Amino acid sequence: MSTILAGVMMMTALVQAADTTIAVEEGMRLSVRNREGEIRVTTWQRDAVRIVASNGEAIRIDAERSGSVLRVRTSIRVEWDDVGERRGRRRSDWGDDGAVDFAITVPAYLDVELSGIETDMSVVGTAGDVSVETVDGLVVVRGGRGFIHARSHDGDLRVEGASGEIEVNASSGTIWIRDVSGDVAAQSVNGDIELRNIDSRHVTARTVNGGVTFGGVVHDGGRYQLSTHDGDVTASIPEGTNATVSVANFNGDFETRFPIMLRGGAGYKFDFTLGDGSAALVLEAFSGDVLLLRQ
Amino acid sequence: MSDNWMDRLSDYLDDEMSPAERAQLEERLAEDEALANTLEGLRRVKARARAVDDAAPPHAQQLWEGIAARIGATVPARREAPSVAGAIRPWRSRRVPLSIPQLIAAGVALMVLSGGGVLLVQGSDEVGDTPLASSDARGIAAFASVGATRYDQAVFDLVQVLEAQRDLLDPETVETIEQNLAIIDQAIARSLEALRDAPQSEYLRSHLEQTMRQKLTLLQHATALPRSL
Repeated sequence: MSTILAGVMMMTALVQAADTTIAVEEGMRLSVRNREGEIRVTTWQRDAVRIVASNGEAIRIDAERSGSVLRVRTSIRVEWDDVGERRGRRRSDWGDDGAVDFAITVPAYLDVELSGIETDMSVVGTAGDVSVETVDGLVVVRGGRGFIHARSHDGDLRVEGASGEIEVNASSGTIWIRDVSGDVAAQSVNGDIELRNIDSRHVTARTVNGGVTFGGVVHDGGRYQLSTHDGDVTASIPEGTNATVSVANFNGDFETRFPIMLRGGAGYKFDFTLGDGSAALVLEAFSGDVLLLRQ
Repeated sequence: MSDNWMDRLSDYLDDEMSPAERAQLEERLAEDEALANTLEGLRRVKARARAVDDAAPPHAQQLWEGIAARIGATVPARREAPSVAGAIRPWRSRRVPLSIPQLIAAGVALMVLSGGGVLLVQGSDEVGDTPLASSDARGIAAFASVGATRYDQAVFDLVQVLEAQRDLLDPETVETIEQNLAIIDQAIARSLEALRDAPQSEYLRSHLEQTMRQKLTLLQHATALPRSL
């Protein structure tokens, strides 16, 4: 089933895998909500969004355009017995209770917003804003320009090849960010944060229970803050970096491959300068080691 | 000397000192401005905690709207959803963990009101002249304005919201939230312990504040979860 529609619409496909295509244009945002299952977003060259949703039972795609937003939901036909439990198959209704796997294809310019509960999500190859939030699931974003926001309450997050402003938040889970440019803010409570091949003027990475690793360019005048309560902080930066480095740890060691001369310090914190010191590099591990390595 | 009296301020407020000790402390309070300020901070915390304890448990959504307005968060439009009223447990039947908010708030008050804490209150671009110092001060000042005097109330309220919404969340999600709160509380406790030994450490103060801010963020996110269901 393939249909191209514009304006307010309702697509219905009473099949186990619903498939519909909807016209879009630049400046629009796709908003998809899926309680449980998976959402995979990839790109193509057409000015349209193709949505394939499968569940294993009769499924209906509800797509509604409101202004510049295309909202997509699904309904699943479920059958109920007298007491409302799903076994007697005495009557049926539509609801959103069930796992749905989405495969969505969008033009690269489209902004994408995904939300879910027990939902794995991936967005690959887009060039607009990306916002993905799940309570329990894996999040992968490859590409994206503009504002990239990813949050998982309980699950790992991976952002690669993005540029713009990147904000990643995990309560429990590891954050991997690599090959990105633009401001980066990553925060976790219980998990490691790994930043690799970062080209950014502003980086903040903070976790409570986990290690923080940074590898990338330190730009003159930039600001880089890496901190943890319980874990190691490791920064690998190029030779010739100009930075005022501030190291703090309450219970741990400091190790560096750079020749340094301490500028001053007190209260578990000390500073030193690399080159002309124009950038600010803050490395803090309350209980853990701080390592400053040559890239 | 004031450190010894600092430890006794709660006893003073709770009227658990001998008349002689009270007189000694009051004499000290007249001389020591930082000690007096800290006492005032603790008095406010305890008064606020009592006021909240005496209040009827509000509807979770109303409570959240109040908090959101105060901390500048966005409140999603109300949606038709199963009422959480039935999920709210009688708050009085559950012991409110007052000790943690009080401890945290007292920690903030100490930071704001003593020594270098003056810097936090001023919190302008004029504070510090290095890239590190000025930026840190701005961040700390922003937190203080949210802030230092309201933090305990915000945490307290959010914990109430979370408790009221507990039955709406998946048990595994609740378990994760509780684990993470325990991790942060442990980090806060260890930071406070470290600060007790090194109260002048700028790093330890900053670290404590950042960790407390993370607790607030976690609670904000956690209390928003049911609205996404």
